[in-house]
Amino acid sequence: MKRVLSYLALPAEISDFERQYLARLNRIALVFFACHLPLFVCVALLAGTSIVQTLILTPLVLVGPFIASRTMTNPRHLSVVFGFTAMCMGGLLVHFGKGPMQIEMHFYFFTLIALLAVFGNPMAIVTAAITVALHHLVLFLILPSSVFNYRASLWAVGVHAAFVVLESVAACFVARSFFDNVIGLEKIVKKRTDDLRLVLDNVGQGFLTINLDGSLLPERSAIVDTWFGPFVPGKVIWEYVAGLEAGVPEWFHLGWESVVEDVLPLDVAIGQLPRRWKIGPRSFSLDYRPVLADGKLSKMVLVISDITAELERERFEAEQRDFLRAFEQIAKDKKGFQGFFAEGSEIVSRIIGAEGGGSELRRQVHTLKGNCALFGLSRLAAFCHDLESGMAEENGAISTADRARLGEMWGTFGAQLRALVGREHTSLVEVERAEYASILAALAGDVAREEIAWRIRSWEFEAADRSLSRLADQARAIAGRLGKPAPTIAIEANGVHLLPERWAEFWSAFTHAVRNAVDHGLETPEERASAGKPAKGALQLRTSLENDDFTIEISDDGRGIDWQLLRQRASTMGLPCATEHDLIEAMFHDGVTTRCQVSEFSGRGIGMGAVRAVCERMGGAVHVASTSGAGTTVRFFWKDMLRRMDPIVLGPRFPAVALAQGAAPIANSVAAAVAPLEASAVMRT
Amino acid sequence: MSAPRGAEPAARPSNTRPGRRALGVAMLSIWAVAVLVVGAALMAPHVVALPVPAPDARLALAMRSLPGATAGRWSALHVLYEGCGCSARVLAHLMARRARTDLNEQVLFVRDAPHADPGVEMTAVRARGAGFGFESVTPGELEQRYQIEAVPLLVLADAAGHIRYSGGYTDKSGAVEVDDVPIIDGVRSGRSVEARPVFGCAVSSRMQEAIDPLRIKYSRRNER
Repeated sequence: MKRVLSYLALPAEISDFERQYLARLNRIALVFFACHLPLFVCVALLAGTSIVQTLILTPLVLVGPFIASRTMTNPRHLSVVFGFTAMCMGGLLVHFGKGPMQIEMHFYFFTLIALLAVFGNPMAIVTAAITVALHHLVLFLILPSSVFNYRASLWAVGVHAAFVVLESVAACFVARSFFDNVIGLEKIVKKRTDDLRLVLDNVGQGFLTINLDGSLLPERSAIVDTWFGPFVPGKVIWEYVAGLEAGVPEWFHLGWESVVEDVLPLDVAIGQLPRRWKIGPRSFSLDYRPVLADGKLSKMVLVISDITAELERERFEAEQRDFLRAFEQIAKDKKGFQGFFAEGSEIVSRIIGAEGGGSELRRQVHTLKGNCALFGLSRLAAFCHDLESGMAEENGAISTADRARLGEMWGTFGAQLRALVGREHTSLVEVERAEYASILAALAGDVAREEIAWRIRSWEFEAADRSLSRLADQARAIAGRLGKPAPTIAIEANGVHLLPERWAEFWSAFTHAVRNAVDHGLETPEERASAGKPAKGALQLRTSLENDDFTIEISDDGRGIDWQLLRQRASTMGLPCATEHDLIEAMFHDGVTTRCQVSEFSGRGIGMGAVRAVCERMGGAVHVASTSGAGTTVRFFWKDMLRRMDPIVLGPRFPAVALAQGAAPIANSVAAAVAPLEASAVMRT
Repeated sequence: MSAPRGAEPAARPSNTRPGRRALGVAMLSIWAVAVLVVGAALMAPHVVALPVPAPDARLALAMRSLPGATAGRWSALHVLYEGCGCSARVLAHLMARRARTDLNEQVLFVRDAPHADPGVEMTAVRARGAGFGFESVTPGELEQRYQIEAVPLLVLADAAGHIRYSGGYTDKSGAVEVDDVPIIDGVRSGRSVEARPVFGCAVSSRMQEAIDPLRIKYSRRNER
């Protein structure tokens, strides 16, 4: 009995699907039974029954389901009311259809009991059967002799009742099967979905489902709530995800409109959507999975991955790579690297401290980028490259956040560098053992005191060939990155020594000239072969001191300057381009380049202007000579360099003649330098 | 993937207050009881076998006083009631088969009105045209003269004036067949014919009250 009752009574839980199904079905049932009124009127007319009775009794039966539909919240209860109503309607049909067809009207009871199975609720059918039984019971109470006095035998009554019971049992079975296998299927699916969701909710990815209007659908994984806050059904995604970077919500909104407008191919439109979100310290990658129905986009599944840790790891690995490269550079040329770092620190300070934009700021960023790239600091170089791009869009200005970021990156690099090489001992002077021995010999000999002082003074200077060698290495590195064979490089320093800290800025900027020579000047091996040149290009780096005039020169045997193209670019920018002088001036103008695309190394038209600006700040001038197909020479020239009060260049020998001729600045400088050096110099060998 | 736990659509907010629900349940209960009672009351007249008059001397006397009743001739009395569906079906049957010549067949038509109205007159014309004798009476007259309270009723009296049959026309309620001819032939041939129950309409007020206590069917005589 308990099993029978548990079979007839449905589980208490009503799923959304069942609720929606029954709500719809109950509405249909109400309309269906309401339609009995005109039907019964017709039957009454045909059978000669009272129309008035029809118009009174049929609405009387309809009152029940109407009240139930207005007062009951449980749709199953309403279905049960319809079980009762169905039998009442069957009775009315029998009553109104009296006459020869009256007995046939009883089939309607069986039809209605069968129809009740669509409610998927055996209790609706049981209620119908009980209604029939109650009807006969009440009839018996009203007219005790009525039930069996129409001469039907007991077995006939039994068969009659058995048919009702049998059909009710069958209908209950059908209803329960319908509930378990159709309505209940949703519960089975839900359980399986819950199991699947349990898995999805425990993976590192988040899933969001987006409707065509951009609103969120309930299907999602739990981690989304953790990441982006409480889920708000129906809210558009670009409003739901708070804390996105400025402009990203608008970007998403516009991109989404493009996706749903179905104008562009779907994959192209999806490609315009943001691929990454940055919310506070966290970064997310986005993958869009369109869900198609009949070939049309019906919704979109957004697969979100928290890549904060991954990006942090990549950043750490990049830092380590940069650090390793720095280590290699230091091992190779410690002084050069320290010089780069010192000059880089100056540039970073200028960039951070600069107000507004301007060409000078662009040059500083460009120079820092070039030097970072040359010394293997790829992250810093890439960041400077992004800064340049941002400056192009922001009228040459750099945002406060970017300045802070640059300072932070440079500071991190500096900390690593200090950990690697220790603090720079600027108070130390390094000297080679041979020079040390030579000085000792000079002191023992008859070398003039002024000359010995001059030679000791020169220890603070750096041989230009070291700087040129550094640049040669950079040129080879650039060629390698450009896929060109390493050029043959001739270095001609002519014994020149330079005061490193005073020339650091120039050498830093001079790398632009080196890059230009390798990137723009030297042809590809194929081009060189077709021009009858050796596959390897040739560069010459040269310093010289002649008659107090100092020259730094770089020459290549490349294609030479494309004057025609340069003229076009200058003309486009509204610059004078009539004479060769005009064209050379244009070449140093910011933004003028013969390149069509910006690359990691060149193409922005800033580098040559930067190096000339430094040269001119140091009192020099630039000369350019170029022959089409034969190469280009860029010469930086400082007149009367040795006559300066504060010498920054020394020649190969003690300038006795010059001193005799009154080269007082050097003599004074040497005299001033000797005293402190004698007092505190620590010589390293 | 679906909505995470805790984010299920909230249980349907009930827009029905508890008081309203209780009122609804109460109204439904009243409605259900009312409909059951009314339904039973409607069914009762359909299934109940109405009483037939006893074949006593009073009925025999009434049969002998029928118009056209002569000694040595069998008489058949068809008692029908105005507005009774079963009576109408029997009347239609009689009009279709016409009156037999081997016995005196009379239609005793019960009317509600004190006097015959055009409808009754039309029925009389049709019956007479089919060879039947016709007389209309009120329910009171019917009960007083014949002690008949329910119709349609067939009464057969033999040539000697003895009541040989008093009962209905069919075995079952709502039956299509009208068995008057087999009954008449059976009785005349001397076979034992069991009286059929009367499934039809109560005519006397007492009988109407008994089978229709709610006065649904017999509330007004012209709405049966």
